[in-house]
Amino acid sequence: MELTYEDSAEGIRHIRLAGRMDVEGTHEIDLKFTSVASCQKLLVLVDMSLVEFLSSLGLGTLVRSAKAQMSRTGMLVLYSPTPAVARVLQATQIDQIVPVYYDLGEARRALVPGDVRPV
Amino acid sequence: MSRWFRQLAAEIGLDAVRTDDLELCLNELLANVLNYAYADEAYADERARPDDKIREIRIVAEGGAGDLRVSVEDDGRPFDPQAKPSPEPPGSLDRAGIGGWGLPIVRALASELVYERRGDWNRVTIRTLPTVSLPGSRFNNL
Repeated sequence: MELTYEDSAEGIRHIRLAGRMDVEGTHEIDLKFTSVASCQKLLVLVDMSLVEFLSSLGLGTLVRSAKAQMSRTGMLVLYSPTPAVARVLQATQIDQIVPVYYDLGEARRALVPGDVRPV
Repeated sequence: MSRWFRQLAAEIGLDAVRTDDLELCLNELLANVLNYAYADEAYADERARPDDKIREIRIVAEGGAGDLRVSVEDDGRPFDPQAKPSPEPPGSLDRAGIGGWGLPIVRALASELVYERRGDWNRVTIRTLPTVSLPGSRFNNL
């Protein structure tokens, strides 16, 4: 499981996850993900387009950071989950409480409403 | 386990959605067994001979691509996943729990979930039928 991130000029932290968020994969990135997504107020966009598998453990990691951002008046959105991952978000109805976007511009505008930069 | 199941699914021609669903359900059921089935036995295991600590967990697949059933069997303490009440959908991020998603995932993705206690063994069997449509979501056509 891989995790990379960068901060964009408009103040959004883009976190890219790649691999399988099964028990092993989630343990590999959990601490770093929590550190980069939860430890301060942020606008977080989590790119899920390279995540092949999402277990309940991985879901907990995402929910924990989304809750942390909400409590800090920040925000976390999920971007472009693969069909298998989207089904898990749907099955648990997490997609109804953590915003999911398939369009990068929409995801950015959700985080920074005035953002009209080209994607 | 995932590699074994995906190879089996490919061999019998199981479609991609059901392969993903069953693989995830199996992972969740297996995690449940590993986390809870033997949780009360730590003291007993400390006193047991090394050979007594060996436990067997069986994963059994039956049927074909049209009607595949997979079972997870363990000889841990009795645990009927159907007896555990389904949690309410969280409704808001405030109320959402960080853990406890495993069984809700299995219940949502499996068409059928059957629990049996056979002697000292738990047996949980899941089955998915083609095109499980999940209620209340914008992703029903995935």
